[in-house]
Amino acid sequence: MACFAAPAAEAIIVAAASKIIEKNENKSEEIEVSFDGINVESAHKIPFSRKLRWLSFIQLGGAVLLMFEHIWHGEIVPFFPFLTAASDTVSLGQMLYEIATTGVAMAVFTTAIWLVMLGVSAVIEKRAIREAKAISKTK
Amino acid sequence: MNLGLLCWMFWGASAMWFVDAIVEYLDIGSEYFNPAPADMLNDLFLGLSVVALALVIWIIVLLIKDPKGVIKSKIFRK
Repeated sequence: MACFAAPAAEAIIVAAASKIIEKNENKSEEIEVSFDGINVESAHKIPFSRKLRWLSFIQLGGAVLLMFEHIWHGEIVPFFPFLTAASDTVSLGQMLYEIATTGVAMAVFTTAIWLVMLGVSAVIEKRAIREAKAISKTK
Repeated sequence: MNLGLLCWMFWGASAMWFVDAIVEYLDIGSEYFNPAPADMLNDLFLGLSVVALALVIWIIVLLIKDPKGVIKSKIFRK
């Protein structure tokens, strides 16, 4: 009915949070690496604001495509009240129940996926910086 | 190519549809795995349309962002 509303709302909050964090974020740890002794490249940790943006992209992208599914099934219409379930109180209650159950489950599941991504990303970053440090010591 | 955007959209949509499928399975049980042919055809067209919509969104964002400045250079050359 409108289950995409919960992840969409979380995506908007997360996007706003990432903007605020980006403004107040310190510059991340950066290491200069040279693999050939001539060209110098820098390796740095991915800022948290960028990682938050991943979550907002996952949730907003998913919500947009899910919204299309609702248009396809005639649950969203181009005239007021835009959601067919909002036209009477009984279906409005069902819609709110669906947002509170399925919608919240979707938001939680996508956040869980993002948390796994954070873990994998942290491992890759640590390994890359450790290897970069080892290479720069040997050179 | 800005393929990351497509990746995020499909990733998010897949996760959300998966949750939707679980909820539906909990609701109707094993009948979930015996859809009517008409419903399957409808879902097939829906799936293809969703992929097409994501590609349309992606190309619009790509045209607006113009990462290699191709459109910008074409406009300013004339």
